[in-house]
Amino acid sequence: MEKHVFLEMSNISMTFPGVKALDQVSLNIREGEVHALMGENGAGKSTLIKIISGVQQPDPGAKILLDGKEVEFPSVHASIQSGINAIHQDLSLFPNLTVAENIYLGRSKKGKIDWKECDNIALEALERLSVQMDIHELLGNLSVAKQQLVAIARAISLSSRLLIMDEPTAALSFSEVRMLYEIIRKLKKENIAILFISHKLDEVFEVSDRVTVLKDGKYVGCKNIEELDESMLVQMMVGRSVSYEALNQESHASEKILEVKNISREGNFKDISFSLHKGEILAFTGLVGAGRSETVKALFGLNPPDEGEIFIHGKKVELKKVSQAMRHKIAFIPEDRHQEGLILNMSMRDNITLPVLSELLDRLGFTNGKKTESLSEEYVKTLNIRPGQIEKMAKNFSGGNQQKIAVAKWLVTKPDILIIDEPTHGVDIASKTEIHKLLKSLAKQGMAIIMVSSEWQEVFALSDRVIVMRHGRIVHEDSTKTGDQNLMMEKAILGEGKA
Amino acid sequence: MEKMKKLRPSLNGIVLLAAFLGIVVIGTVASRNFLTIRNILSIFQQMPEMGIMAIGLTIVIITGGNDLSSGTTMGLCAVISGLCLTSGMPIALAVLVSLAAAVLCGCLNAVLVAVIGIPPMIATLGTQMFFYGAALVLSKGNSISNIPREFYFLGQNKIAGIPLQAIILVLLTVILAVVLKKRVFGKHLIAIGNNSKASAYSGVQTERVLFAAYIICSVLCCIAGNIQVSRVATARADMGYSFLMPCISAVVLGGTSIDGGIGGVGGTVVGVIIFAMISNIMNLAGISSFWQQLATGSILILVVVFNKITENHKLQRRKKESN
Repeated sequence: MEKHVFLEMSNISMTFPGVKALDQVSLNIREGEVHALMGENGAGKSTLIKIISGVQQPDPGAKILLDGKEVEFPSVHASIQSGINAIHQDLSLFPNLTVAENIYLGRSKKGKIDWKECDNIALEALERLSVQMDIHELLGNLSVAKQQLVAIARAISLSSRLLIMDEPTAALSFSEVRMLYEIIRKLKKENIAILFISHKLDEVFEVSDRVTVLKDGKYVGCKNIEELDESMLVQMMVGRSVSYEALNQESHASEKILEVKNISREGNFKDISFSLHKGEILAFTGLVGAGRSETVKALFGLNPPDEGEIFIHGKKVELKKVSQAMRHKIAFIPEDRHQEGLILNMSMRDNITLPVLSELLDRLGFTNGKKTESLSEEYVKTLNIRPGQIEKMAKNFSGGNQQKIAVAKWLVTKPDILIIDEPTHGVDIASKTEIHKLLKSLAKQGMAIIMVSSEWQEVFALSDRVIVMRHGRIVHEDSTKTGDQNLMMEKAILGEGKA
Repeated sequence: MEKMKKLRPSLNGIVLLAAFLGIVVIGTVASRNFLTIRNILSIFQQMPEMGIMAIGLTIVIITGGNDLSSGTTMGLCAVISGLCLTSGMPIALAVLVSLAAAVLCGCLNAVLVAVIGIPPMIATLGTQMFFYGAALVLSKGNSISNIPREFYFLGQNKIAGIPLQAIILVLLTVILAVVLKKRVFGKHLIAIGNNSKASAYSGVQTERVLFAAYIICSVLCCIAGNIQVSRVATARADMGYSFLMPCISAVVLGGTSIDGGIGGVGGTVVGVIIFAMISNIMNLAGISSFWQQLATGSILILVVVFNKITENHKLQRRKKESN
């Protein structure tokens, strides 16, 4: 028996300056179904959810039908009025208010709070979830799992038809996840539809009825869960259309430049060992939270390991500070351009020259305008950064060009080892290709590159070797030319046991 | 073309200049005595103390920090210098001792802010009271007079008719302006103010830079303190206590962002001069000091509001362009 489709969205596009986050995506929700929304990082899942919940507005031309009538969600309030409630990853609750107040909030009339009504609404909502908790406890004193229950209680008390959850199990323990599943099933019986984002395949197969998959902002497909098995779903997420040509033909019998032996850091990564050769691109992949970024940051002195040893050119080194790492000719381009990679309010020239500023002085020790200018101009040209105005502030460039500035900033240090975290995250296709070409040519010139990437296509197209991480450990290491690609994906997503 | 762009003054600069000229005009109209050499010299005899402290504060505020202890640092250094001078110590040594104390004050602030990670407002609020208390204890709450005559040169001498302290202010301003514009240290100060995480990721040794910033600020407060001791021939713990708020106001008026990352010492000095002129005009016109506060406050609010509105306007225009 097919249930009635009550929410139908089609032709949803969303353009940010320089990036198309969503491109003619469609999504439909049936009454009382559990619908999973899947895709890799940057696929556009969160953007789609923000559009449904009224946080962001889609490009013109989007069509949203609610019970057959065309509607718009111009604000969060409007979508709540239509019975759509979203629970974001940060839960958006108030830690200094009680459970009851959190559930009741925003409902008082004329500024007067009816405390009895407040308690009743809270008790009733929690009862519907069959959850017992002290409603007068401060929210901040509760565990994350309980806070999430409060968020759900709040949502269903607002007469919800559709409950949206962004990675609801990301912060939960195993038993708490089971409890959440129970609640999802209960809500389903009440005919409340649930749309949730997840990266975990087992979870999707356990609770969902249907799955919609997005990739690079495009709609891939929507399937009933019975029609799918795990590897089919992985294929949908990763995409088949990849041509895995061998891009780096020459074999690497070259000099070993970096060797990492059994480094561990409490809560970050455990027992990591690998080596890196000149002219090689080594990819770190795995799911978000697998400890990849934490591991590579350890090599740049940002996240020093508690134990283990690191050797560069065969000599044991200390990497406790960024300056130490820079002295060993290591460069690191972080994933978050806006907070970590660039200083947005400074000019492109100032950004590019910041790491080497003290080498660009005149005889009196003043920074030399001519030297910084010619150096910046040189890298603007090699990386084809557009527009090429070196005085323009970094924040006024598109995502792709910002990433090129971040790359330029570290190429000026002429590193032996270049670490780059998600080299093409949020970057348009044209710049993506250019960055890929650049990385390859750098490797050809002898630079050793460590790349963290969640995109399989990128991993296979660029790297010579791949290391798969899961839960802070290395679970697999293989050559991308001879290795079994499906096996690697499954190891990353499913873990050791099932592969 | 590039050169032309550099010469074009910033919007804040234009507003500041307009406010400056406006006040000069008002002063000239309000009192015959305003635009006389004698009066102008008297302004430049008093205002450098606040000016020197304010440019030091600018350096700290550019890093995204703040130093609420600057006023009491000045008082503490004044007392220390006064005690040393009256004890018969050679003048140079007495000044050196007070400078050493200033370096310690700056280090304490920097340890709290940069090493332990306490928000600058809170950290320096604590040291503000601490330094004031230290100054009171050292001076036993008394004002220290009997400052040796040989020390008067610092605050009472003139070179070619110009008060020595005004020359010191100009020199320090030029030095700091060049440091901010042309030295690696200056660029690092600005980078940290814009984004300290990204700066650290770029190899900027943020701790070291912050230490230097807070020490520079304290040392300048100490110089201001010594000048005042020399000018009024006494040292008291509460010297500089009332300077803090006007100094922060002058920094903001001068176009330095209170969030850090943008600004310079030149604007700050103009800000201090504007405030000094306002009180001077009111004194000349015989208006009560209650009204002076009102006028100073209004100017600050007007300029800041004007800057914010134009900034929002610019943002909107940019958004439209990108669409």
